Amino acid sequence: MTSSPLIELAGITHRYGATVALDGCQLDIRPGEIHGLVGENGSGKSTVVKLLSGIMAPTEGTVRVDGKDVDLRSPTAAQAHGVLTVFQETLISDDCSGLDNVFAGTDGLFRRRRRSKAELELATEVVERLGTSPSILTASPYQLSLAERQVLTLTRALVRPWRLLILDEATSALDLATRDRLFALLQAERSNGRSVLFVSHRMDELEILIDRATVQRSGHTVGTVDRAEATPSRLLSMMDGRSESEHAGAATVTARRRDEQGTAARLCGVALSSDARPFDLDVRRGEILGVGGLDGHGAVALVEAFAGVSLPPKGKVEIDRDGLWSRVRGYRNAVASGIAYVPGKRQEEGLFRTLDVRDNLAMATYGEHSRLGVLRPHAIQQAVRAQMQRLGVVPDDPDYPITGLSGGNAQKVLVGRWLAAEPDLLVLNDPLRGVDIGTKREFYALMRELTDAGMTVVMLSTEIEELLTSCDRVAVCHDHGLEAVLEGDEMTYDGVLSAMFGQAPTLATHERTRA
Amino acid sequence: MTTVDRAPIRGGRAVPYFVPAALAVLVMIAITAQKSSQFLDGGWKLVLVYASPLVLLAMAQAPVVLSGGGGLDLSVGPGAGLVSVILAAGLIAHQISVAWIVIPAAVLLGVVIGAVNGSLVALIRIPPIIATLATYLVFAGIATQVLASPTGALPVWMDWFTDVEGVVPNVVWVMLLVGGLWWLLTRTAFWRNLLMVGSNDRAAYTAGVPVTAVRFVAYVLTGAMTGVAGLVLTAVLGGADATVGPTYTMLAIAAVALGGISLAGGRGGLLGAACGAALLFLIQNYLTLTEASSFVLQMAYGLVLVVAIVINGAWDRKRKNP
Amino acid sequence: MSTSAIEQTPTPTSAATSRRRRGALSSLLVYLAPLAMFLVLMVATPDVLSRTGIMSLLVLSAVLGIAAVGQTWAVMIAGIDLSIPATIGMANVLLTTLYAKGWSFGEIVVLLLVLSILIGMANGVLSSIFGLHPLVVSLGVASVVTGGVLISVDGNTGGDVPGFITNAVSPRGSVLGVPLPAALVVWVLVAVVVVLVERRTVIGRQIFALGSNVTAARLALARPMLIRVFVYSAGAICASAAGVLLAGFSGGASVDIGAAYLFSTITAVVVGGTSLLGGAGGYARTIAGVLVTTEFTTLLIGFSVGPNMQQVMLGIAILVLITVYGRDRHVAHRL
Repeated sequence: MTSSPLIELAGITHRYGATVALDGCQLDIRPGEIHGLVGENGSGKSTVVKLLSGIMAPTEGTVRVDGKDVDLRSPTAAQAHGVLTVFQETLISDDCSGLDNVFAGTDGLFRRRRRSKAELELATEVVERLGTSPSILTASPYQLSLAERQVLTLTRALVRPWRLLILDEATSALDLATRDRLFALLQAERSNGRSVLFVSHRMDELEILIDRATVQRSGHTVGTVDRAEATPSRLLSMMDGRSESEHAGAATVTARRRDEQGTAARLCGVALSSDARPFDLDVRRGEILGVGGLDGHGAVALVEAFAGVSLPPKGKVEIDRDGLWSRVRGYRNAVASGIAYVPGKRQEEGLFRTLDVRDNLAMATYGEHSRLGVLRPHAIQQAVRAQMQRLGVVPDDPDYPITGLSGGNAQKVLVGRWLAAEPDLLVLNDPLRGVDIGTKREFYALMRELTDAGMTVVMLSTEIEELLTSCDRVAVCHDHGLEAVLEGDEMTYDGVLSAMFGQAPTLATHERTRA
Repeated sequence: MTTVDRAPIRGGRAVPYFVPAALAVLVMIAITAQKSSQFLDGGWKLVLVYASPLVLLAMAQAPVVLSGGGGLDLSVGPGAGLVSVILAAGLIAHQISVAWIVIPAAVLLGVVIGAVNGSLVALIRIPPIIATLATYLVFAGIATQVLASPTGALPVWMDWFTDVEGVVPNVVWVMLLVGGLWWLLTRTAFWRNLLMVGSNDRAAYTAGVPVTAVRFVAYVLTGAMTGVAGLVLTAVLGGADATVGPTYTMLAIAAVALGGISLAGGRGGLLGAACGAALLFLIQNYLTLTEASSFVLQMAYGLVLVVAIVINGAWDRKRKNP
Repeated sequence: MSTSAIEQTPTPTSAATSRRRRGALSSLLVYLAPLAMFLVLMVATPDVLSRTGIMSLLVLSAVLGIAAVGQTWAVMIAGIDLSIPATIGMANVLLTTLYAKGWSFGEIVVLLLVLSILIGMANGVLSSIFGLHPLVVSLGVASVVTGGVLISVDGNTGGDVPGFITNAVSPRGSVLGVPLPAALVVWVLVAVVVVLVERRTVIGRQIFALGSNVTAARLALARPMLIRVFVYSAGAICASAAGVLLAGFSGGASVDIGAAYLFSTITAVVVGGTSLLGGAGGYARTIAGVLVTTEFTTLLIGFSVGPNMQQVMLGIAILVLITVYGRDRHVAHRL
């Protein structure tokens, strides 16, 4: 130890009911360091963040600040110790002004009267340091962009006397310029003895920012490494337990170009936002087309356009129906044309949390398994069982409540819901977010099997690695336009990343060339 | 009282939420004045006196609706009825009828009622509709149990509430007093906390706003205003009648919706609620003037309510997606 | 195929099994509650054991049960229906006045069906646009319905009741020689149909889906507005049926006759354990809730508890029940 820790988690265990989310977690953050916290989803990262933010109390173990045991029982208690958290979700109240959002919770229940001039000046200074116009403090939040809203939540934390700032995937909502200014600000504050806990999936960000990193896997703390050791391949191997060489070699597994069998679907003159440049894109029959792009750059809009969920402001989407082009005019129309869509936010858009596996799996195909609106339980049971076996859903019981399944198995059910419809084109919106590595591998194999049988897959992924290992081609969005479609030798980590940043090789990507 | 030190919205100042309801009230006043010559000549004072319990109860409904999370108080009607019954049958009937006891007692009883609801909703976390439905039954039941048949014989000072001799009827002072105290409250951080909790309780919680306490206080405020409404109701009825209170609950909710307050929380205020209640009462008054049957009145209520919330909904959507 | 998945995820199986057992236990308790309550009733007030006593309890339950169909489904789609009392009153008044004017029962039934569907459409469509709150929508619709009925009959709510309706709700009534009141038979039929619709039809499952997750339901091909219209229409039809049956009890009709059913239907749904958050529960639970609340009231009457204190006790009972199994999550658990 070079200096005594500012904050320390010792032997923390946390259970939700019978599920163990954290098991003997160890974490210490020194004054004046930027500490990375990495791990796959479900590794316990978010539980660590919630414990430190005072949102929940650990089942076992102690939290120490400056060497003293503390009880962070509420966000207010955590703030009293100087621990401030900015979450991935932009937690803003739309009915209060930006300034009120920034200073919410600082005034007590009744006490303070007006917003003081000093407060306005303080907030203005922070907002300007983040390179944003102070007008966001006076505007109605309804009119703000996602990035501007996140600047408000960052300002909310930065105007308070913070000692530890927790950024829980908080940069994903920011635009690049703001993000870089935030990083500069954090680095400046680091020399003032303030610390940052930086939770991110973005290896590039971790690499330029952190002093040390702690890796979580399945609720356990794998270890803490120094900056010099914290290379992406080392961190990745600590995260999933595979060897480093496996990760280094992962990028070469691709390039399985298939014989061309014509075009299954196409976008003609599509623009993903009203002022973006239009483009064309063909999807070849039987291929897996990966879709990538930084958050907020149109990748989600692209897959939603394919699925008819939200029609693009310009251009048309067409699917090949027995040799004829049929235009996709909306979601139900897309489904009728043989398109299936697995939404991205599993909890918000996919699962029926109050229902069992059977309902979750068969809801979209109940219409097919019915006569005059009356269900045929036998046919449903058979179809459900068949899908569950094909996907290897554990436990193998249709009557199971969906909330009892792990994230990976719940995702299998969601994919099964749409495979049961036997679509020609399967559109997946980041299907493997928060899914363990075993399920991921099964899933890649399944997709290959499906495409071999003639299905076409369009898959959005937020992980470049995944695009490289599982897709035949990768379409990369930048600034709501199609930046590049990469295939074969072009499909490298750097290639995809550069395209995501609008071709210009940015940040530390050059050092990221794999072994 | 609405946009306390809220900075101007970028791109022009937004129209305050209560403006449509206030305009509708003005229109109704104009229409009524045209129909009845006495209305402007003092008739309005009597109308206002009779409308005052509803106006106060609609105002009472506002804090809990603003606090969001499905916040609602179905028990305001029976609550006011219970306060009225306890005042008339408990205090006044036992010769404890001086103003300096009865008035604080009314407010205090209201606060207790509000604290009961607040504990159930904010502390025990029973969904507001169920919690206040249950207390509706309890309050209504107790009120009727205590007072089987209406009672009269009020102390003379209570006539003050129904007096219309002044420039404005005296109940206006009561409403202004309640509104003024509320306005003072909106000058404190509580108002910002209430809006924050109402529009996004998760954001408020993570920012350090004491969400539970804010919701609890909202119910207590609702209760205190219910107590005042109970006092005024006693004066207007000239006694207590346990069956009258419950009829106000649905009207108060309708008034709040009419007044442009979002039932999802986070937007609105007392003025809108008062306008909504005044609007309901003016419509009723006008239809009575035109000798329309109470049936037409009933239907008009419903139509006005549906049209008003559709307009509010459309307006809200436009505000959110400019 | 996925042994690795089992090993890597932290024991979901045991957690879910215990949750499932708890779920099964709580629903078992719900269905046992009416029986337990009945035993208490037998011990406390043995005179309900008479055939008439039991039958009148069941007839009261039948009317409440039929009226509560709409409330159950409305709550299941995370809504609420305040227009049920008005619909009951509408059916009650129209039946008696039109029957007195010489309409045949069949004609009246057709009219009530059409009106019920219109009410359901108003509720369903209005609560689907702009995300309007069903509470206010159905409150407004209720007012329009009551006013409309009063205007159409010009305030004369009295009239005649077909004899077989009176017979249907009489505890001594019989159907085809079987000594059961027709109201009870109607309830059993309605219950069977409603439960079958919930469990065995596409729209039934979509009702659950809509209440559970609107976005996911839409993506799974459910049509939210159509389902809402269906739910509120079915509810209005059942409320009309309850209004018709109520005409058998009292000679005179009234638009306010359904007033008590506003809170009693919600109570029955809540006591049955259907969550106000939507997506769970079902009519079978409401049946248990209806029986328990009716038995509870009968018990209180047996103890000579007056109607006022009955109300108080009912309110307290609701609070206790919900405290045990229906509390909301703390804001921290929604992060």
